[in-house]
Amino acid sequence: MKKIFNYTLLVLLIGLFATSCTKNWEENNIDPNNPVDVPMTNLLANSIINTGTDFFDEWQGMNNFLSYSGQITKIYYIDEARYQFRPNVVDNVWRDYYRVQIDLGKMKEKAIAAENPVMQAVAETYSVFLWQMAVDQWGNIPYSEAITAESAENWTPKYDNAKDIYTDLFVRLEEANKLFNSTTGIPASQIQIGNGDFIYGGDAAKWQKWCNSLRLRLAIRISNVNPAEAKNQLEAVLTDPAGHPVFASRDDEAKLKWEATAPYKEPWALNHESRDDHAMAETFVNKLLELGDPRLPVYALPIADGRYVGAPEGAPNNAFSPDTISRIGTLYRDIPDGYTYFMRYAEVQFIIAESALRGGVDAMAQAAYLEGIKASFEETEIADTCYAKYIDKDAVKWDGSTDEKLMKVYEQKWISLFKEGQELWAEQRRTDYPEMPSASGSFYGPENHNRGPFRYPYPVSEQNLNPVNSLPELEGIVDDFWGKQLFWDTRTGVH
Amino acid sequence: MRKITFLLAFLLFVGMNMANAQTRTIHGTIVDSEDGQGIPGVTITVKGTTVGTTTDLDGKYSLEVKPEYKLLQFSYVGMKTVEITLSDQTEINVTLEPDVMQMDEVVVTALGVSREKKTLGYAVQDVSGDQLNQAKTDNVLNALSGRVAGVQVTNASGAVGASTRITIRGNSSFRSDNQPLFVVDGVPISNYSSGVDQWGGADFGNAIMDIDPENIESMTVLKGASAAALYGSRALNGVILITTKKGKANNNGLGVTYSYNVGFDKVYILPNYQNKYGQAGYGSEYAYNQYLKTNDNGHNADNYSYQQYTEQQVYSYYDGNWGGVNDGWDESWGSRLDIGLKLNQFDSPYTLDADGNPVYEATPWVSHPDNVKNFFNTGVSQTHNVAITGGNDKATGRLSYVYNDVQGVIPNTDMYKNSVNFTGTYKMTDRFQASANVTYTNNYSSNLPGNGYDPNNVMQSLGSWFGRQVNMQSLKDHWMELDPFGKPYTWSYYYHNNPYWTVYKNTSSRNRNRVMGNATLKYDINNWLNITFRAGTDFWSESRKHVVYNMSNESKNQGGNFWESTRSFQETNIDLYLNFDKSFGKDGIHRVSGLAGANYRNNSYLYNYMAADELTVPNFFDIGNAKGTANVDMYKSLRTTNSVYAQVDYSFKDFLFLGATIRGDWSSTLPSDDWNYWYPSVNAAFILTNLIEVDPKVLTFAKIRASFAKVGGDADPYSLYNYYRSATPFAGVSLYHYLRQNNNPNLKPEAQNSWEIGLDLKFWNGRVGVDFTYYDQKTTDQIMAIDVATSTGFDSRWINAGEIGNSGVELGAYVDIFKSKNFSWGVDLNWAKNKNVVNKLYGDLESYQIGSSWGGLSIQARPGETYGVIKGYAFLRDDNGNIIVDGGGLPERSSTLEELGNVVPDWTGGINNRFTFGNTSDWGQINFNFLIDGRKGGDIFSVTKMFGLYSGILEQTADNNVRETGAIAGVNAMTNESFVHEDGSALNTDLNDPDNTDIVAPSDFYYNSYKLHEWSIIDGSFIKLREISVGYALPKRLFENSKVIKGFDVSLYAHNVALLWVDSSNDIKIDPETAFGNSNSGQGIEQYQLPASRTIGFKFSVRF
Repeated sequence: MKKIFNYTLLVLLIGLFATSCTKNWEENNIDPNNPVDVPMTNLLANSIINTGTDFFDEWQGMNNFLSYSGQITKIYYIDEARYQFRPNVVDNVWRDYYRVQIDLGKMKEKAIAAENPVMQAVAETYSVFLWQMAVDQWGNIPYSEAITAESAENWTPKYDNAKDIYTDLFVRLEEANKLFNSTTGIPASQIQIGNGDFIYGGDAAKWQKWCNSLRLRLAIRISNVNPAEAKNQLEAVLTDPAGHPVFASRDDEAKLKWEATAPYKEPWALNHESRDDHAMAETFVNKLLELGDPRLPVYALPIADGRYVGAPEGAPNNAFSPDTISRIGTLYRDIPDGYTYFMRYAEVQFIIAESALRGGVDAMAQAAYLEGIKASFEETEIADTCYAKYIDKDAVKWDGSTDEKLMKVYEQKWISLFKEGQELWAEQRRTDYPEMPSASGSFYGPENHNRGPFRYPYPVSEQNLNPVNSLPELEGIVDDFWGKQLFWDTRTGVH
Repeated sequence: MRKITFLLAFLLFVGMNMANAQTRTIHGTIVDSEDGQGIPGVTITVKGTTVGTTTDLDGKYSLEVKPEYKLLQFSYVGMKTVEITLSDQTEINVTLEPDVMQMDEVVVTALGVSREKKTLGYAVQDVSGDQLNQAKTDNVLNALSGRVAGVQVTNASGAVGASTRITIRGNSSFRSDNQPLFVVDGVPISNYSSGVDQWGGADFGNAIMDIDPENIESMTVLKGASAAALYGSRALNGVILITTKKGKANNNGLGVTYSYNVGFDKVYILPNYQNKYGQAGYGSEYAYNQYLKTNDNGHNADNYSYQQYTEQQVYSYYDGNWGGVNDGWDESWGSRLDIGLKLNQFDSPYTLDADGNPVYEATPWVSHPDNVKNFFNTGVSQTHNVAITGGNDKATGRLSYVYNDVQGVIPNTDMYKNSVNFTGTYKMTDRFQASANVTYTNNYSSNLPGNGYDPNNVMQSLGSWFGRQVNMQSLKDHWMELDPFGKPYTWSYYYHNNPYWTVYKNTSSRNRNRVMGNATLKYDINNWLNITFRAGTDFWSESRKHVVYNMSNESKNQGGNFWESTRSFQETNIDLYLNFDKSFGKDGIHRVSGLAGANYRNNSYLYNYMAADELTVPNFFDIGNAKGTANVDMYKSLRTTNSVYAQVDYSFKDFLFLGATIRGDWSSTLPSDDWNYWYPSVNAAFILTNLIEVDPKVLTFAKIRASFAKVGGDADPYSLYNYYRSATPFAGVSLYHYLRQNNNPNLKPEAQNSWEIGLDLKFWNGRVGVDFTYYDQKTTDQIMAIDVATSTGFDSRWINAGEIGNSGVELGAYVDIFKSKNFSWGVDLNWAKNKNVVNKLYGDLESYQIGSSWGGLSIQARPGETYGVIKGYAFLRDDNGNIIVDGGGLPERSSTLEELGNVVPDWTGGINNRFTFGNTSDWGQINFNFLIDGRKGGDIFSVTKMFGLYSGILEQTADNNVRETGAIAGVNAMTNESFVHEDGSALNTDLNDPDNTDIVAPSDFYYNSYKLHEWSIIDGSFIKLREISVGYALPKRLFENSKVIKGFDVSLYAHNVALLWVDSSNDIKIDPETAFGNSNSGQGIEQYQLPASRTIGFKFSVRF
C-alpha cells in the first residue's frame, strides 16, 4: 500500500510540476509575426499607397464618379454607371477611409511624441485631404468620435454634421501650416519625413504648399453656400504667399507615381490588363470635339474609322455597340508606372481664377485661367503652338460676361481634372457643370431623377453595427443616392 | 531528435524475446458455437485486474496466472462473455455463443479507455473499420455519412482530394470551424484545412484524409461534452476517436493480408442546361423581331434574314477578343441553335489572307448538349494494401503499407498517397508493457482543381459563362495550340481560358509529408493499478504551389505568375496517468475504476509564402524570376497547455453505474490571471433489466442514462495585444498599418454546459433496439471576433460574448427482421434533429456575419434565431404574396435585406439495410448492404443558379418559348408564382399583344436574378442512395487445408449512387451537399460547385 501511495504521489507531483511550468508563457504569447511599434514614415507610406489603390481605382472613380461627371463610362457590365451599386464595395471604401485615418492618427501621435512638427503637419494635411473626400462622398459621417475605440472605448461613433467637419478641417489646415512654419531652430535630423513619402520625396516645403492648396480646394467648395467664409479662407492663403505658399508649378502638384510592376501598377493600367469595360463618355468627347480641343487625342483613342465617339453614360442594354466607342487614351490608361493625381497645379490656378473673377479682379482671373489651361496642356504634352491657337478660340478666349467667363473656368477645370473622379464629381455637383441628367439606363428609372447622384449610399455595415447613430442619417435619402444634397451643393430644382 | 531515438528504441524492443519468470500457464482454444472454428482476437482477462491476452488466428491462447487470480473472463465483440472460475486447470477450452443482443459491446472512450457500452452514462456511437471499408472512400470521413446519428457530413465536392466537413450536434461556436477533435490511439492529431473559399483557390483537403480506412479498427464518436469532458478545452465540438488495427499473436508465423480496391468515378449531378440558344446576346427570335421593328437601318424586314441578322448583329467569331461580332460576349442569349444557321465559330476552318488574318468558313450553329459533361473524365481510384501481422504471447506487431492512387474526374487532377504504419506491443516483463505506433504518410497531388468564383475553377466558365454551341472535343483536341493571333486556342479568349488549358497548365500542386505516432509504457503496479506514460506527436510539413501560365486569362501579358507556400505543423502530447480498477465487497459487487493524470501539449505552426505577380522569363516559376517586388509572408505560432485530469467510475452489481471527471487546463494563449480553468462532468446509468426480472422475449434490455458536463475553450494565439502589420513594400520601403482586428488583453476562457439523458431499449430477444438521446447544451462567453462599425478604424474586436444553445434528439435503432442460418435481413436507422438558437450576441448587436456573397447577401447569426440566417433581397410582394412587377413587367425587389432562409438543416438521417445470404460453412456468404441518407432543410444560396439565369445557360431560361415571344412574369416565366402590378391590377397575359408592356425581353427578365437573391435560394433537402455494397465471403472449408491462402473476400460497391429526391426549389439540380473547405463561412453558399461524382468499385482481400 505504501508503494501505491508513492506512485500516486509521483504522478501528482509530476502533474503539479508540469502545470506550474508556465515560464515564458506571457512572452510566448506576444506575436512574433508583427511588431508593436514601427517608424512613422512607414505608416505614411502605407497611407499613400492605400489612397491610390482604394480611392482612385475602378471601384472608386472609373465605375462611378467619372461616369457621374461625364468623362468616362462603362460599356460592359454597366451596373455602377446605372447606379446599381455593390453593397460590399460601398462597405469596403468606407472602411478604407477609416483604416487610413487610424494610421494617420497613430502617425500624428508619434510625431508629437518625437517632437517632429513637420511629420505632425504632414499627418494633418494628409488626414484633411482624405476627410474632405469622405465628407464630399457621404455628407455627415463619424468624425469627432471616429477612431476613438482605443482611447475612449467608443465603438459606436456619432455622426458629425458635414458643415462642422469642414469648419474643423480649416482649423487643422491652419494649424498644419503653422507647424510647417515652426521649424526654425529644430535640427534637420529631427524633422525628417523619411523615405515613406512617395508624393514629395520628403520635401516639407512642397507638403506645405499642398496644405495651403488643399485649403483653397475646401474654400472654393463652400463658396456658394458660405461666400463670406470662403472669402476669408481664400484671402488668408492668397494674400500671404510667404506664410501660406501654394503650388507654384506642376512640380509641386500632389501625385503618386506608381511602380512599373505588380502589385503596384497604376490602377487604371492594371485594370486594363484584364478588363476593357470602360470607355470615353459622350459628354466629354462631344465637348472636346465642339471645342476642337487638341487634348482629345491624348485623352481618347480613335475608333476604327478614325473618329472619336463617346458612349452615353450608364446606358441601357444594347444602346450602342462597344466596338464603335473610343477607349481611354494610352497616357492615362496604359502606363503601369503612370500617375494617380491627388491635386494638380492647374486646379489651384482655376480656383484662383474663379475666386478672382467673383471678387472682381479680372486680370488676375484671366492670368490664372490661362495658366491653368497651360498646365493642362503641358501634362498632355501638347505643343505650345497648339496652346496659343486654342486660347484664341471663341469658346476658350477670356471674354464675355462674368457668368460666361465663370462657365469657361468650370469647363476648363473639368477637362483638366481628367481622371480625378472624386474632385470631378464634387465640382460637378457644386457648379452643375456639365449638367448631368440621370443615366439613361438608371436602375431607379431614368425618369425619376433629373440629375445624377447627390451623394453616395451609406454602407450596410454601419446600419448593422452602428444603428443608433447611422439610422437617423438615412432619413430623407431617396433611392440611395438622392434626397439629401451636400451642404455645399446649392443647386435648386434638382431631384 | 531525442523523441525519435526513443521511438526507435521502442521499435527494437518489439520482436526481442526476453525470458522472464514463469508461473502457472493456462492454455486452450476458443471456438465459435456456430461452426466450431477457432476465433481469433478473443480477449481473455483476469477479472478485476488488467492482466490478459488475446487468442491467435486459430483461436488458441496461453496465459500465465498467479495463484491469487480467481476468475477468467472470455469476451469477444458480438459473442456472449463467458466467465470461468480458476482452480488448478492448465487447459480451458471455451465455446462462445453469438450474442444477439450485443450488450457487451466494448467501445473506446476518452483517453482510449475501453469500456462496455452498457455501463456508460452518455452517448457514444462507433463505426467499425469493416463498415468504413464497405465502400471505399478516399476521405475516411465520407464513409460516416448517414451512419451516426447527430453527425452531419458534408463533402465539399466530387473532386479529387476535396475536403469534408463534419459537425456533431450542430454548430456551437462562432469562432472555431466547429470541427471535432480527432484522436488516434489516444493522441490528438491535426485536421488542418485551408486554401479554398468561395472566391477561389484549390481545395487542398482536410488533414484527416491522410488516415487510410484500411488501418482503422474502429471509429468512435464522442458526441456530447460528457463523453468528451476529459479532453477539456478541446472537447467543445465533440471528439472522434480512431483506433488503429493492431498486431495479433500468431503461432503459425506471419499473417499476411493483401487487399486491392478499384473505384471508378463519374460525374452524376450537373445542372440542367438549355440547348436551344447559343453564345452572345440579343439573338433570340424575340430580339430579332424587336430589331426589325425598331431599327430600320435600311433593312427591309423581309430581306434581313435571321441568318443575316445573326452574323451581322449577334455573333460572328474572329478572335474571341471582341474582334468579331460580340465574340467576347460569354452569355447564352445568342441565336437559335439547330435550325440551319451557319456562322464563323472558334473551331471553323480558316485560311489566312495576305495580311495573315484568318478568313473563316462558316460552320453549322448547332447545340452540344453534353459539352459540359464531356469535359469530365472517368476518375479511377486504386488502393493496394498489404498488412503483415505476427507475434507471440510476448510481442505482437503489425506492419501495413497502403498505396492509394486517385485520378480525378476533372482531367489532370490526381492524388497519390503512400502510407506505412507500424504498430507493436511488447511485454517486457509480467508487469511492464511497451507499445509503439508510427505512421508515415506522403500525400501528393500534381494538380488539384480550383473552386469558387475563380478562373482556375473550370465550372466558373462552364457553369454559366459559356456557350451551348461549343464543341468540347475541339477544345480538347487543340488546347495546346495557338490560334492565328498567337493566343491560346479557346472558344472566347476575352474572359476565358480553354478549360483544358486551365487544368493542364494552371495547376495547384500539394505535397505533404506526415509522421504521427506514439509510444506507450505501461506498468502494472499490482493487479488493480497501473501507470501509463504516453508520448505522441503529429508532425506534418506541406508545400503547395500554384502556377498560372503566360497568356492565360489571369496573366495575359505578364509572363505568368505563381505562388508557393510551405507550412509545418506539430502537436506533441505527453500524458502520465494512473489507471485503477478494483472490486470490493462480496462477489465484487462494488467496483471502482478510473484514472488520474496530467497532460502536456505543445502546438506549433510555421508558414512561409512567396509569390510573383509577374515573371521576367515567361513561365519560369522561380522567385528569382519575379518581375517587380515579390510578395512574401511568414507566420509562426506557438501554443502550450498543461492539464491535470481525473476520472472515477463506480458500479454497483451490474445495474448501477456512476461516473465523474474533472480536468484543469492552463493555457498559454490567455492572460495569466485567467489561464487556468476547470471542467467537471458527472454521469449515471441504470440498467433496469439487470435489477428486475423481465421476460427477455418482451424486454431484453433497458437502460436509462443521464449526464452533465462543462467544457470550454481558450483563445487563439496572439489575441491579446495590438500590433502593426506589414504589406508588400513599395519601392523598397516597408508599408505598415495598424492591425484591423482589435485584440483584447482581458479575454477569459469560454464555457459550454451541457446535459443529456438517454434511453437504451432492446426488445424481442434483442432483435429490435432503440437508443434515444435528448441533449441540451449552451456555449457561453464565447471568445469571438465580433464585427464592429468600421468607423472605429477596426473591422472587428476580440471579446467574450455570445451564447449559442443547441438541443436535440438523436435516435439510433435497429431491427433484425429476419435471422436464420442462411438468410438474414436487418435494418439500422439513424436520425437526429438539432435545434439551434443563438441566444445572444454582444450588447444590442443584431447580427454577426458568418459569410457573404454577391450583392449584399450574407449568412448571419442573429439573436433568437438559428445560426446561419440567410439575408438578402427578396421579391417585393403584396399582402397576398403576389410578386409586384414594375411598369416594365419586371419583378421588383424588397427595399431592405430580408430573411430568405437558414443554412442549418432541420434534421439528418440514414437507413442502412443489411442482408446476408448463405453462410461460410456451406457455400459461402453474400453480404448485401444499402444505405440511404438524407436531410431536411438547410437552405443554399446558389450562385450557379443566379448567374445561370443571368447568363441564360439554364434550361428554364429557354422554356415556354420565352425567347420567341418575350417573357411575361407568371405566364411563361416563373410560372410557379403569381404577379400583380404596383396598383394591384393583373398583368396583361397576352403574349401576342404588340402593345403589351408586361412583355419583357427574355434576357432582361433573367438579368434581374442578380439583384433578387430570393430567386436563387434553394432548399437543400435531399434523399440520396449513398451506398450499395455486395460482398462474398468464400466457404471456410476451402481454406481449411490450404497452406497458403487462409481466406478470401470479394465485394462490389457503389458510393453516391443516386440523388433520389431534392426539393422542388432545387429546380436546376445542384448537389445540395456543398461547401468550401470545412470552414463556417463556406456553408450555405454554392458557387460553381465542382460536380459530385458517383463511385462504382470493386475490392478483394486475400489472407495468407
